[in-house]
Amino acid sequence: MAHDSGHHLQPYPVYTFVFVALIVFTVLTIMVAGIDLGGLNVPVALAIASVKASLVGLFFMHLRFEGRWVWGFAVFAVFLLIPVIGVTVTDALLGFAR
Amino acid sequence: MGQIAAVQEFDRFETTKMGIWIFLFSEVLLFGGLFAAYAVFRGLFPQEFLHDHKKLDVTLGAINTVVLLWSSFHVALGVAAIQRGKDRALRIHLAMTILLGCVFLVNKYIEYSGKFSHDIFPWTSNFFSIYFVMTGLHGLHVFGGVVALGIMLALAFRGRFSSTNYVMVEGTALYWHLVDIVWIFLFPLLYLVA
Repeated sequence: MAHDSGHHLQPYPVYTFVFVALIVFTVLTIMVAGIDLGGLNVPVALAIASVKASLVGLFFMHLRFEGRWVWGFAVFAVFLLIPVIGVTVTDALLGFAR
Repeated sequence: MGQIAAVQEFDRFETTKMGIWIFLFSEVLLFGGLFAAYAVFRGLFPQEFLHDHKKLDVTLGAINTVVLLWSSFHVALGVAAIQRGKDRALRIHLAMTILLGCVFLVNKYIEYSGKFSHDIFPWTSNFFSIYFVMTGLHGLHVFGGVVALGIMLALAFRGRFSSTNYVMVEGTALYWHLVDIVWIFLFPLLYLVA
């Protein structure tokens, strides 16, 4: 059961593959930033960054082997941040505009 | 008897890791507050962000991104090595991680001194205050991570870790990965997107 967590052995090639993918996504980030996508530049940059962060979390931090407690913290952090940042920005921008 | 000891050992392992994740959670919220500040500043001063972010050196930022990803790769390999009981490989990977962490800090120093010599300071503009606060706090985290990794390396030289006792290494690695993740978001938001 949960006893397995933290003792899973992930094969070495997986680490190498993830590292190469992270470098490829970094190059992609820089290339995409040079193209004018209008209002989409920020969402695209954030999407690529989220993919990279997920790769680090799942494979380097071994999240894919973790139980529900650790997942709870990781997911809770993300889903707490999105509304906190969203509401702060909305309030600040609408508030100052008036 | 043996089984009870094993259960206690397991509990210690799991509770230590839980503590580390709670700490990481608080770190996410700390940086999350700054990302919210970034978004507000950006929304209020779009022209200034557009103008000022071009003064940042994308090449240095990109090099530091690769350096930090590379260091994360090594610390992950270090954990993988000690899980397999290979303590020599652990020491090599920890040393590589520390070296790359120092390279990051040296680059940061070059970048900061370049800004100061061009009369760019945290009070120069809204963009540069958020830039210096975020990269500065992140840099402090890298520095703290290098110190923690150094302690782990010293303990590894004393043979303190094995395939069943490596939770401190894993905790330090988790912290290092989180610092890497923060930079993954900082790099495009500060250096690239405007």
